[in-house]
Amino acid sequence: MYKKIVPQIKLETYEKEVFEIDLDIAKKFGKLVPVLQELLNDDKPLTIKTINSGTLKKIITWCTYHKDDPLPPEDDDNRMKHSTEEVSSWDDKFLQEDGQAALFDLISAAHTLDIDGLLDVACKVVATMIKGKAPEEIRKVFNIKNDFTQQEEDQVRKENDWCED
Amino acid sequence: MDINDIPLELLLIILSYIPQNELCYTISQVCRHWNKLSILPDFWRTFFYDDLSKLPRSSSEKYSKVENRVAHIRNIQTFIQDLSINRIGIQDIKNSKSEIVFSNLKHLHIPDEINGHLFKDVLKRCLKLQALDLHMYNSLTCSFELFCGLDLKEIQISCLIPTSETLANDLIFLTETNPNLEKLYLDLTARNGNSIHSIMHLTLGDNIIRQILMQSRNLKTLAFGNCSMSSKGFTSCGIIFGLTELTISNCYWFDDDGIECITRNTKNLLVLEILECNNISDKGIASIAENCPRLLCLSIYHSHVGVQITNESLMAIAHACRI
Repeated sequence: MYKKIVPQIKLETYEKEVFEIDLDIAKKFGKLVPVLQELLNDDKPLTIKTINSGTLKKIITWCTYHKDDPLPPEDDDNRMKHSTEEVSSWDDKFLQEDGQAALFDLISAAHTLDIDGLLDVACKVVATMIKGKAPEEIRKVFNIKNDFTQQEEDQVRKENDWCED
Repeated sequence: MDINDIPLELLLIILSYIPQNELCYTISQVCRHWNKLSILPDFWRTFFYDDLSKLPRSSSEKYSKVENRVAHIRNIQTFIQDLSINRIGIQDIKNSKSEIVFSNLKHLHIPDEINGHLFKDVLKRCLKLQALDLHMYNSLTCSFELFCGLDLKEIQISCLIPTSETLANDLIFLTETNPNLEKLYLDLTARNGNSIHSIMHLTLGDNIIRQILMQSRNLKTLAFGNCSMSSKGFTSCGIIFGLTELTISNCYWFDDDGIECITRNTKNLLVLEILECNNISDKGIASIAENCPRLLCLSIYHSHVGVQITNESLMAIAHACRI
């Protein structure tokens, strides 16, 4: 009987857990793809210490779900433009369900593995959490320390005083 | 991990999705680090003055202070490469006590009706301007003299002009004073009498087209909207090798001979759009197939045009061009 052999790559996480990932899912990993292809026949996994198992699991789920999406155009200029494109409800739920810390782990991992699509939606989700909030609310939501001196804060507020009620 | 631990480049990607008005009014007040990030050049290369008015109501009331709007523009003036500005914006800049100069501005959009002298004032502040988009529907405010000597690469004008009498001279003047023009988009309507609703169809004579083409040898993109023209202007001006995109719309007299003339003289067309011209038949299509081997995109549209074009001529295009 013929059994289709799916080429797989092995990744080892921070917890030293080894994951086997189908190559057609790993093709989402942008610049890493050629590196991974070289390792295809290697038994030794590629160790990525900055990514934990929970995050890698999420990444595999995301890449599997989006496996057949068309590739985004290679246009670096668009990176800095605020896009109006909406985040799909599946992505929104998937990215937020494990809380903020997991979301930032995921962003950092998507950056390491060069998964542009995931990085973009995840950053958009964070941007949505920032949009429309007052400075104090933003500090609270993201646990940011207000390090302005009283004098500086007054100064900044004076420059921008039209946005205070 | 939280937002305070992620690398700077990731925080910048996140902030790139925040609207400009919030960057300036909210993000700047969060902490010292975010304050510095909020005026980074990357966020302000493209600046829509209109966005400043999209603030929450209570904010926009206080934001109505001119000095605050101007202070913000002063902070970002050197970063701006692409500016869309309305009448209030131009007034702000004109009335500011300190000089504002957009030293890196390349592309200026003016979506509003702006009085000539205000408009000139803004142009004076743009030292490296390459492209200008104008939309003017108050015929009294538009004067082609404004474009003189700017040496622009791109001009897009949609406007309502008072009469068509001076149009020929105006257009020739426009191209003469901007000899390095690469993109010209004209959508002109003339007002018939005093009523705004009574609009005249403009006709561009062959000699005007010819002059424009002779004066702008660097043209890559050319679009005429709403003005009728025949095609003979294209015949005696030599082959325009650089022209790659051509749009002609609303030209009732434009026919197969027109297509033939144009395609013969523009060998390198990549995009050809002929819209609302109803006299196109197989003959015209055949000349496209014959003369435009590099064509990537072809649009021919008119509600009746399909009747005269058969599948065979389309097949000829499919074989001859790269579409």
